[in-house]
Amino acid sequence: MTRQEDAQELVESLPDDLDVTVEEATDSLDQLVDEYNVPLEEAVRSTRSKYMEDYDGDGQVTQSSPDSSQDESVDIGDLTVDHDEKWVNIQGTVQRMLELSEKQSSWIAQKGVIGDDTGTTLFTIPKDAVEEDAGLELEQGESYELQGVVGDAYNDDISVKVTSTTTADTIDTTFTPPSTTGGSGSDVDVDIADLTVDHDEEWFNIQGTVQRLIDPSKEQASWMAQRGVIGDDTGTTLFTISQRAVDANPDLQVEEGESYAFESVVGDAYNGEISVNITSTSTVETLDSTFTPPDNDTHITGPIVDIQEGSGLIKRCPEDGCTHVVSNGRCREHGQVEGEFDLRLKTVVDDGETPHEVFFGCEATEVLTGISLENAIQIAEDAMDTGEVANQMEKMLIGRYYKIAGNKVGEYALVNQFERVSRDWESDARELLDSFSDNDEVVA
Amino acid sequence: MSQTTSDNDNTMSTNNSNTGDDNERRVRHPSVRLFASEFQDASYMFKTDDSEQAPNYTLLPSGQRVNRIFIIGALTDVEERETDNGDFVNARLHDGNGYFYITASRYQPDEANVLRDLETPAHVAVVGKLNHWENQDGEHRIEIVPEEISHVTAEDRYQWILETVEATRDRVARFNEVTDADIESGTAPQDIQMAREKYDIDPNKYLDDAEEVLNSILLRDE
Repeated sequence: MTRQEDAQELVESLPDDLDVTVEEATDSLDQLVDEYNVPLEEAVRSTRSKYMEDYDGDGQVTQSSPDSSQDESVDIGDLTVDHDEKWVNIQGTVQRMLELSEKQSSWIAQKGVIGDDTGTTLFTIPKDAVEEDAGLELEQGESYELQGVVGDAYNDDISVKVTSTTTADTIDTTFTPPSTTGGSGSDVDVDIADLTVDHDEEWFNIQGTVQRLIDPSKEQASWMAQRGVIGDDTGTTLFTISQRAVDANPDLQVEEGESYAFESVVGDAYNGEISVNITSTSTVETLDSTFTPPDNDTHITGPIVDIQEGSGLIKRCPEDGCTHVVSNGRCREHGQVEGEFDLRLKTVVDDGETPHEVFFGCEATEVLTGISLENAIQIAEDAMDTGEVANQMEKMLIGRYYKIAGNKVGEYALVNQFERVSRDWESDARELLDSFSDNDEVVA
Repeated sequence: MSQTTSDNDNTMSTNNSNTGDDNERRVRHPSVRLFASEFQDASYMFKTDDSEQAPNYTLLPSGQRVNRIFIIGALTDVEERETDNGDFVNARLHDGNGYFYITASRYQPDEANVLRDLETPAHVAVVGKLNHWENQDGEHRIEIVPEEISHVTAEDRYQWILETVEATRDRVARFNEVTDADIESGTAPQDIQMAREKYDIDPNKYLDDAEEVLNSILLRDE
């Protein structure tokens, strides 16, 4: 199939009233494939999504609304990521409205959770849809039949978008979604140690104690509320909780040291490692028991060869449960905040064969460097530069040998214990010398 | 934290210099341990593909490709040079048996400053990439382009020496295990095969150098 035929097929799959020409679509595919080295499949996806975004977003195309009577009516509990970009009809009761972030409020009128007797889902109503049709403004506690909403899948999560072509009719029935702490009970319970890459995209239940929370990276923070390490008595795994999941069900926000039973979480294999995604369809129950994962610390001995960006004195968002790093006075979730100082180090410890990324938390950083959080703040104030803290730490750490025990989590090791390498080098040196004089040809 | 090197090998740094966040980071080359004698002999450089961003590898005569090295030695000399191409800081680091040469150019301003500030002698650790050039007589020269330079302790240096003796011993042992039959049948490890083609050097000599280094630290403390 030629690029143009791909474009042709793409254009035919788009709503007619979008007026996209095959030429435009071909140009878009050409640019993505040739200039940005994106595989064709992804280029098609990207192009479609670009056109569909305009379609949903600017409401120009209201005159010929899709015939919603032909859309599939679905139970909310049956919505899956397969409904991405599909037009569906749902009915349900608005469970609650969500607060909008500053960024969201520029284009979203309402965001909330709607549920029928089978489940709940997140919905968003763009501003222009409401401007077009004030009847699209929904009220908490009211029940509606929504015809012609479009599925929107993102990282294993499905939600629905109301568009200017959606019709909303009030109905009298009140729906009671299944309790969010009950779970569907249809997924299997899995011991964390038994998780493998074969669990990719599989749904299952886990329970465990949150060993620690880790900051999402800048890219991750756009969709991720929390990530961390959870462990049961068999092992530990990385987990992520999407922002949508927390929006839909605030109970999904977890705390370090607390134990939880999660139902309907989904495996995510990446780079040979399996992690667990907690999505808006997951349910959670707090547990009283505490799980103790076996000591499967990874041990690394080597010099620190790099201190990475984001090390030293940082500021974190002070909001409850938010662990985001504040940059330029802003938390990406909570906007302008007065950040709270914290210390951390992201280092590379290299044993000569493998560079290990090793993270030190605040306390470990204080012990490692002898610079307390208070000292660090003083150093930053004196230098009028928070970067000075990382500079000083780098000077005292690079090239020094450490013996480290930590949890291996994905690519990182999170330090539990560390010490300077001290070796009886003299006797080891003699032993090595003896081994040389014993054989002319050495064997490893 | 400097990310720039004077050679073209900055694939990883260009991908990551902005984020430092590590899901994007796929491959960081390990910091290989080697003594100065093998460093001086390593004259063959190659790339695995033609693109500008492809990493440079230097092939060790004992049969291992190297992109980044980690050394600790005694800083013995620091010299500033002003040229038409800007200021350079040259340094020499002695490992007990031979010299490593280090050159920080204007592309490594932090490392150049660390070198300027250090008093010789000092135990100094260097993480860096390798740079090859030819002098006026057409002789091969190799130097380290530093990513990190730091003042360390004698303990660190001894630890490095023991590790480097072990690493050298293991490389040479692997080299010795490969037979002519392995080479002919193509079953030999690629880097050892390449080393046998590109170098006319018996890497067992690096064991003698390793012994020298061990002797140098044992004698010094007696």
